[in-house]
Amino acid sequence: MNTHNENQQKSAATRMIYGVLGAVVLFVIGTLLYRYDVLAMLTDSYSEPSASQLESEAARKARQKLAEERKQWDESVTAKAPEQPTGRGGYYVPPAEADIPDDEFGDSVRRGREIFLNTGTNAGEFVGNGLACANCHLDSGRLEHAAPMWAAAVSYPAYRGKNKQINTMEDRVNGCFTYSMNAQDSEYGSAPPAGHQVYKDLESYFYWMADGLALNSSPPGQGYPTPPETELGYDWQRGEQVYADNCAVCHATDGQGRKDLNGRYIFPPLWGPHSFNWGAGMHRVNTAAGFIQANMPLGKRFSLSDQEAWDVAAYVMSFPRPADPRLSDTESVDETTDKFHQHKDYHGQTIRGIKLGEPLTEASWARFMEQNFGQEVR
Amino acid sequence: MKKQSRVYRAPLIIALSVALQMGLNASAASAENSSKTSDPLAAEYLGTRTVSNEALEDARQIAVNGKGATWSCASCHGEDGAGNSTAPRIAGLAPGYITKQLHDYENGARKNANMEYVVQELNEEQMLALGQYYGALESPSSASPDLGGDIRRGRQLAQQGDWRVEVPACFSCHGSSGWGVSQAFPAIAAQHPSYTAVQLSNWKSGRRSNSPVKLMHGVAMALSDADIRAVADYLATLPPPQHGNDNRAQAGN
Ligand code: HEC
Ligand code: HEC
Ligand code: HEC
Ligand code: HEC
Repeated sequence: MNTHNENQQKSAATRMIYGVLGAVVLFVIGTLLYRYDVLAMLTDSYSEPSASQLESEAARKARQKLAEERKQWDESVTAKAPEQPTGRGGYYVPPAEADIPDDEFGDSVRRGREIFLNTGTNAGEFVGNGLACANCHLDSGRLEHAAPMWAAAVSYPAYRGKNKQINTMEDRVNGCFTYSMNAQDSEYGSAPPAGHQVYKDLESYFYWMADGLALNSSPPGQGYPTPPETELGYDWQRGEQVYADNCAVCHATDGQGRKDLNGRYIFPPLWGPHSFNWGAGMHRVNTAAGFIQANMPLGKRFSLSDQEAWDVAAYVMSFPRPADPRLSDTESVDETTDKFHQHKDYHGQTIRGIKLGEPLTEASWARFMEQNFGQEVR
Repeated sequence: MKKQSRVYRAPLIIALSVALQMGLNASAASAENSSKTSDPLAAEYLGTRTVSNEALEDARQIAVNGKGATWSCASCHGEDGAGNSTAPRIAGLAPGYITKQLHDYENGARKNANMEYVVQELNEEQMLALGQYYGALESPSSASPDLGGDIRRGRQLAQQGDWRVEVPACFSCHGSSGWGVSQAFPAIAAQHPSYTAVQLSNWKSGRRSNSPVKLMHGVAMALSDADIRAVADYLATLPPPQHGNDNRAQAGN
């Protein structure tokens, strides 16, 4: 009797324990199924977050963390100072385009961005070639190792050896119009005059992009990297084959780029009257080698070897281009070479029968093209 | 009536060509032509070639009615070359690009049972002339988004790219309206989404490996399936290329 009762009680208790344990196990399994999307996996509707989703989520979080740290910093003097938001590869994460504020400042930022992307349309009177700022500063000036504007924004005013004085950002941008955009051949005839709205809008854009970076912090990814010098040195003749294999499909065999059906340059010209001039940062073989290795061929960054990058940069820089704006009526090409071209470039040398640095005329250019590329498919 | 019967023959042709493909494969033909295809300027060269008026007329015949044992292009690609859910738009693509693709089906750089069968029946001049015929054809779009892709994301990829995963804007190579650039960069606007998506997946899997300088390879590798659906759907919302009837103007830019 007694034992029977005990047994009954025991089995009731055991059943209870089993019941609870079973519930817990089911709960855990259920949670796991839910947590890891197992059902979705079984039914095929599951998708791993893609690399781009992960990256954009990381970027969003980095910006959000900055906003929170700033709030704490504002509220308490003992709070930790806000840190620079970083993402992929440890590079700074600029704010998203969708976060451009909806106010007057935001309007200026948007205008600056438009000038940067379509310089010939939005600041056309100061542009004397077929280029836009974003052709050399990729992803609208946001890409690391393509001289990004967020890094530039926290680096001025700065002392520059080029003109041996302290330069403001306006001075720097003035230089870009003068050399990279060949402003001497523009409608206006030179870079925008001091204080012009074009500078203000571009500076708004850069300033907005750098929100979160400390002044003078030399952030990683600034400027273009320079590949190490190679034993063979650089040689434009060796670069010709590298160019044919990797560049001509876009920039064309004759280097004059390609336009689309809307008449827009899709692949910008690399030399000749519609490209940048002698004196632009890019005409130096070392700067071009860095830009090219880190950014070209488009979509295949860092695919060229050091040797290929040096040689193809030399090839591109061995062609005629618009004259150095510092070349004056009273000074010969050789004098300009002595004064301003004591670095890795071809100014003043005679290559393919033409003295590089001499101002191009329509006739001399047409003759040069006919002689060198007349027979070739571009 | 005539066209109908052709359409019914399609499955047979497919079965036949699959069998053929198994038999032939890789070998002699591909080795012979591959050096030509791997020249980055292959499409540009082909775009400068001219053909006789008779060849052009012959091409029109092949396109519209077929010729002898040759299947009419229209029976699959549509009467005006605007394509449908099973065969792509080919109207308005650059002539050099079209001819290069026909070569690529021939030498194995691109694989597709239907087209591999079709190109066996074509000689070089016909391939050139067909490129010019379809290149000059302007046909309204018959494409519309049907993959359930996120159009906003698609637009972003097309116009700005996604540099976080090393994808430049599609339009930085395919032109500011997706209408192509010169001969090597085809129009991708107004293409049928299923076709666009399959091509991108083919590059990912290595089934298609014919882009100059392997430019499409890296782009496709970085796209997720959701991205592929998004961009394919977005491109289908765009108008097809309009080049004022002179496709060769593209080459001289
Ligand atoms: C032909 C290519 C080219 C074009 C076009 C061009 N730049 Fe530059 N830019 C350069 C080079 C080269 C440098 C120097 C980078 C270096 O030395 O690391 C530079 C540097 C800069 C810097 C300083 C970057 C830094 O980190 O110090 C700013 C700012 C700048 N450019 C703005 C512009 C603007 C604005 C435009 C359009 C009006 C423009 N650039 C057009 C090639 C170009
Ligand atoms: C897939 C097409 C493509 C290929 C291949 C390519 N580029 Fe570019 N290149 C571009 C585009 C597009 C730009 C402008 C970038 C932008 O606006 O986003 C550019 C910009 C440039 C620039 C700066 C702008 C100018 O006009 O001077 C140089 C220099 C350059 N490329 C050199 C090269 C070299 C050298 C190679 C071969 C190693 C090469 N590119 C291969 C598409 C290409
Ligand atoms: C039996 C159906 C069929 C016939 C007939 C046919 N095609 Fe195709 N074609 C296709 C399919 C399907 C594809 C897509 C193949 C792929 O995925 O690579 C295609 C692809 C193409 C492409 C590549 C398009 C691009 O955008 O890259 C070209 C060019 C082409 N066809 C031209 C022709 C020509 C010219 C003819 C007539 C001589 C023809 N086709 C006849 C079914 C056909
Ligand atoms: C770096 C240059 C470059 C970029 C960026 C690029 N493409 Fe391409 N794409 C090409 C080239 C070159 C071809 C031609 C391949 C060939 O000759 O077969 C091509 C072909 C294609 C084709 C095949 C077209 C057809 O009719 O068969 C599709 C689809 C395509 N690209 C989609 C895209 C999409 C979508 C993007 C943006 C996510 C993109 N491409 C970005 C260079 C590029």
